[in-house]
Amino acid sequence: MGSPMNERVSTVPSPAPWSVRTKREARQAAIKSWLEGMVYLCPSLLLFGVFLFYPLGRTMYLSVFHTDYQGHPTEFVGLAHFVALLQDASFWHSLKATVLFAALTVPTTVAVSFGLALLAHETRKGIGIFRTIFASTMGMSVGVASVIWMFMYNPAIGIINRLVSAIGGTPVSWLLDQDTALYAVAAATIWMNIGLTFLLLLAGLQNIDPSLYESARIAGMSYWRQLWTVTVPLLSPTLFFVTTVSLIQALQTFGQIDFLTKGGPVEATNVFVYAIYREAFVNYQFGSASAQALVLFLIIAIVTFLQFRFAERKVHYQ
Amino acid sequence: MKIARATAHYVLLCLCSVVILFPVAYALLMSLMDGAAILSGRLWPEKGTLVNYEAAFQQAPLGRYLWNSFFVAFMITVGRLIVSSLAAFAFVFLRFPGRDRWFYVCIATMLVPWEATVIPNFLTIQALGWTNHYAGLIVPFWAMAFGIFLLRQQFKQIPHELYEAAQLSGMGNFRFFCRVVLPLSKTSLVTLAVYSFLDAWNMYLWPLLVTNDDRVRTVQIGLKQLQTQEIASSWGVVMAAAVIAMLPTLLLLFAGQKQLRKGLMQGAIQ
Amino acid sequence: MAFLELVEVTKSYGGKKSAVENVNVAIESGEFFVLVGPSGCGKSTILRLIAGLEPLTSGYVLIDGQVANDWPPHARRLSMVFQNYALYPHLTVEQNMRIVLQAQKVPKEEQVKRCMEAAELLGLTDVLHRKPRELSGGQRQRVALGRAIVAQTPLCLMDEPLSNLDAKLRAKMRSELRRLQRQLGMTVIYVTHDQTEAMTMADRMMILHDGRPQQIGSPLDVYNSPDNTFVASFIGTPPMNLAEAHVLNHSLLLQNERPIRLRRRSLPKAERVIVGLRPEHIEPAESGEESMAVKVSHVEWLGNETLVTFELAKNLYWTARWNGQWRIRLGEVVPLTFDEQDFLFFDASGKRIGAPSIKREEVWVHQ
Repeated sequence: MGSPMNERVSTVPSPAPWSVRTKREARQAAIKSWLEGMVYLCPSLLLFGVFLFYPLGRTMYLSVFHTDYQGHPTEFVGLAHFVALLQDASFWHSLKATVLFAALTVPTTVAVSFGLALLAHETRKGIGIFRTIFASTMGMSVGVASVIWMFMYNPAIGIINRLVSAIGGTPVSWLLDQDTALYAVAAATIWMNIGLTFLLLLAGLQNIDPSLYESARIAGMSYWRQLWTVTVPLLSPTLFFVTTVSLIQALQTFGQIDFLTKGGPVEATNVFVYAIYREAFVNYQFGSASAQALVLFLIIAIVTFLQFRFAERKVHYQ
Repeated sequence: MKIARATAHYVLLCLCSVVILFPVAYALLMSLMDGAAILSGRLWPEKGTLVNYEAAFQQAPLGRYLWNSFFVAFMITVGRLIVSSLAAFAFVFLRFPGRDRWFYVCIATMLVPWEATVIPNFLTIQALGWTNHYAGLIVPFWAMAFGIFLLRQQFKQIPHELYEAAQLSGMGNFRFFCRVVLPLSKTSLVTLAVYSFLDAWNMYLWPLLVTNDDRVRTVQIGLKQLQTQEIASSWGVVMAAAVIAMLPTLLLLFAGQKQLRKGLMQGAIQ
Repeated sequence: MAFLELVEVTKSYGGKKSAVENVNVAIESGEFFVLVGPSGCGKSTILRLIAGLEPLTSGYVLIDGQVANDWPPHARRLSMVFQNYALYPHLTVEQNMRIVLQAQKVPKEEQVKRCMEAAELLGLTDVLHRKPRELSGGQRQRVALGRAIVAQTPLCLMDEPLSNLDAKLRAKMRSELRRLQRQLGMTVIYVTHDQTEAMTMADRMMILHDGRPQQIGSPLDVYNSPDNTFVASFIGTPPMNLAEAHVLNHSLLLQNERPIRLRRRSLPKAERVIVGLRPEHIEPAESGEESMAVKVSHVEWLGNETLVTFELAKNLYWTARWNGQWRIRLGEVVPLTFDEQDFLFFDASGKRIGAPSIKREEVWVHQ
């Protein structure tokens, strides 16, 4: 700091030299601004710390331990959980179910939503009503949607089987048959996800400069040509975003599974998150469940990385 | 030619609408039919009856479930708005060492799937004694990286000159935040609020883990309870409960639709 | 037979006041025709109606003598240059230009040939492989123009193509565009809000105001012989000086204050008129010449000319344009003179009165 005051002889201490004073003030100002910034950030950082970073670390910690029923680690086992997982047929089955589920839901949701967005993009009388209808499934929460679809899938009195019988087919136990269960849940999931995906794609469409379409019309391009030349490339950032988010969401599906099939029948719908849930909160194997959670984290990270590496190259940013 | 095209367009729109609305319409119709009528396989109620709705409220504390969901979702939304907007404000207007680094830290949290944290979080909540408590349902979700990101994008659009003018006139940061930044960002705030509320209302795994009794049970889990109790006997009651449970979110969606679309347009462009 | 004709064209949106009304014009082949007017006057609407991007409410569009109202855009065989260029951001310059030809199923070698020719014409050969976001504003504008050129359509529509460029580039591109148009023999319909652009580029122009055509004519016709006060004040910089006046026996009383005696000019047969006089027709008076004394309120020196604003009457300021650099102080009283024949008279509603003033020798080179 500056020269101590008590060394001075004169009664009035003269101010510190200019350079020292500004340096000190600058430092104080820097500390003050840092404090102020941190005050605004504090809630977020604190919450992230307690509910995200700490648990992440703890999951990694727990994954290398045996745990007791209270979740306390008891015995260090190293990578034993991971090894056991790779050798567990149930794990691979679960992985297969998850991948199949994602492959069923994501492309279909995006394709259907894209089609709906194209339909709803034109300006016609009353188009607002249709836009609201198409977006409505966003307001269907998982419990509501699941219970309705569960009823629709009911083998005896559900509407789907009634329709099937009416056209002469044999009714199927959609949710109880291991060949159809995953598809049934996928159908319900697609329906649930259409709302938000549609809104996002519609927003993307409306962001495209209309003069590009006009230029195409003047050049004589047909509707499909315009779609391919103008719409898809200019929508590609939104399409990419929507696909990535949907994929990550699909890998994390839980609610409908728990509601409709509870992972069955015979583990046909035992997607990853459900398996983790079962392992941790039904079997109380927190250690091994933590290991599975980390594997899921890794899978999601890899998938996202691959998406960005390969799919993003095709995206045309402006 | 143009008329043909328009007609085809409307026909397609209507067809798609029918398919999309079918489950909801079906639930509504079933909810207005009594048990016998449902079992007999009718599609249309002979005479509409509200008996299912009464039963829904009697056989399960549906009102309680709804209130819990509403309270939890509301508190989460408000908390998220406050926490995210404060952080976004700091990231855009305040200058302090390490600011950008902290921003990347927040963004990094978006990469972590919450399954990787759910087990220890459950244990934490248990240790805090927050199970079967509103706090356990609400507090962990107040920090939202997506919210910070969205609001930061929005705040950046506010001309920096406004901030400089405020500083010159002696307006403090917090007052600037409250009086200028927040009012100018209404669209994004509403978008975030609507999205947050729907997201919170929709939570399933966490309330399943953290709640055990009907006092704090949310409507998603409540529906599950109701369905297991009523299985095969009173689907009408279950459908009635579903219809009631979907009303709040549908209403919110309709009310916030325009804002949501505007906000998504701004936010979806990255 | 005119190449393009608009007959009583009207367009209104949803029963509200019409965007354009009663547009009648015949445009010849090879002409550079300009639609000019302030923002919102309907000029872009007319262009879009010609292009077929929007349907007419009433009236006819005739192309080569045939009613083209129901023809889709590409059947009208035209190309269009948009204000914001409408370049496809994901395609290179070359692809942007060729895409028009691909849609018309032009054979590949022909596509490349036309593309190369246009690129050379516009100086774009070096940037053919770049994407629009890598180009400057002027280059993008030329790519948009290139798209119109390769289409080789008889008619080309341009909607304020230069308005996004800076002033210097704009001036350069004006002459470039005109040169290209003459060279290729295209018929061009050009929309702008800038009257200087209209004056310098047009063979003929249509001035629009509030959706209604005010006058059609060659630049000098419109300049020398405006049909109403709107045209008179819109065309020409600085704008024409206007003032309300009472007509007395041999003089005009401007704004109840300033009398002007007219000896060699007959007065219009109305009580109240609006008088117009262009700034360049007000000259400094030589000593001994009959003159009017006015007090100077503002002076602008442009280097080659001086703009002198003076007070003609209370709250009535006129501007004079004098060649050269004049040393004038604010507040100075200077003598002015003018030729009575240069006056233009308009009735109280703004319409031109009486025979047009004697036309000067028109030196007009028309290709």
